[in-house]
Amino acid sequence: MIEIVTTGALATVQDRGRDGALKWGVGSSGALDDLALAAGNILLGNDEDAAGIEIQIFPFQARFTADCVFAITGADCAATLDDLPLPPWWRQTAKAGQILNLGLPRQGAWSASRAYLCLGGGVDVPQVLGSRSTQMRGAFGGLDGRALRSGDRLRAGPANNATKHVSFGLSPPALDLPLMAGDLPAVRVLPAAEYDQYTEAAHHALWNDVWRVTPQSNRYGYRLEGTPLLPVTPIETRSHGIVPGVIQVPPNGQPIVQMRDAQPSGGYPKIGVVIAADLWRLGQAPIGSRIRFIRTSWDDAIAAGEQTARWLAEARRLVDLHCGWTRSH
Amino acid sequence: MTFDQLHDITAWMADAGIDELELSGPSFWLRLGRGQTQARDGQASAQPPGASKPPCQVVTAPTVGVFLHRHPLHAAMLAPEGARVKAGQALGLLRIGSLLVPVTAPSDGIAGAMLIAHETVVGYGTALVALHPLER
Repeated sequence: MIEIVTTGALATVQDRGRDGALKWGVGSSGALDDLALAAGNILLGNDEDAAGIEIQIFPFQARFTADCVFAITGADCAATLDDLPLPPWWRQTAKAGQILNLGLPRQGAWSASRAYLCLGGGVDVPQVLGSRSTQMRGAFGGLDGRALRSGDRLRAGPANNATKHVSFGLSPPALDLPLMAGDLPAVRVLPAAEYDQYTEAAHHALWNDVWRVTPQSNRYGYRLEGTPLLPVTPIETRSHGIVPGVIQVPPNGQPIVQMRDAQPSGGYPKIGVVIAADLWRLGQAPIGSRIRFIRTSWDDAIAAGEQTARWLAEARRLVDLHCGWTRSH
Repeated sequence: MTFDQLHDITAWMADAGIDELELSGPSFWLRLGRGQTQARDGQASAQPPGASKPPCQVVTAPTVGVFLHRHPLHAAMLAPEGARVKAGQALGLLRIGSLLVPVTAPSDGIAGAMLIAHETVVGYGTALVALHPLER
């Protein structure tokens, strides 16, 4: 269905993640911006577990080798289909031979770094341990367990053809569900197991200082830079299970937020955890950008997840309704 | 469709403040508007009469929604006046909740003036933007 023409490193097939595999020591993988992937699948009428392509180095070019309905979401990459400019967060039909081009992300009303390309019917790669996500550490899942390369061909599953030629888009959730602290993007954080063993100064810095996303940030983890977070006395912990979102603090006091490709265990103390509903915000924060942490509660973390689920359900309802109208023409 | 039904429909339109209604069925095509009514029996593929192309087209709203001149992420207009646009390109958007429906150029051309202000609620068929033919 599509052939990769140009890609930088690290474009991978991802779905919403390999949940339930931690018991085998296998991390979750999955789209860093799970909301963008979900929106792409909604635009296409795909199942919610359909896989797409996560792109983080640009430019990216793909040629359609057959007529195909597709959607682009995530970072605004000034996408074009041949010479037709496409709005961000958009669904479009391509004819065989047409070329989709994604340029460098534009940092306007929303600063983001990862784009998602979804195909009608989903990217058709085999499920491994219940998911199509690429597991880079274990070299399985996705396309042959590796990042995409020029010349790779990917098939799409059976698409919902009834509404094939309709083009439309969705308003990005970053605009509909904004979360800022002062003038910076923010993520909500729950205190974690070792929180109480940190100094008052560390607590103050965690909640009030600005955290810079360093260049050593990727799908495994985001290494942040700011006021060092120091414990009252040195903390020693045995290696234990961890999940995406956990904020580890190594001895240098510079926090590391575990992301989707994190290993399933670690030994550093945990000062907090970014709530699941906000991991996509961090996953889109560009290298060099600055973020803040907002302290939240268990109940508010659950409510945030429900708010995201409502946004997706409403988007799916509106898309279904719109495609229904179009079918009757 | 009978004339009694037409009477009902025009009454409903007046109640709802709708200026124009277009309806097509398996064997009829109907257009009702304030001060103008057209109807035709025959095949559904029948097109509205008087289809000789004017030099400047007016692109109308494909659905009800909030008319946007620019994408919510962008400061720049989708199709500033004078810009060359491709057939199928979005000249504006209609927002319905989080859904963004394009107001697309029916043919290649030069984007003309916006006929309705940014962020105005518009009804189906409202004239939204002018599209000029490409100069030969």
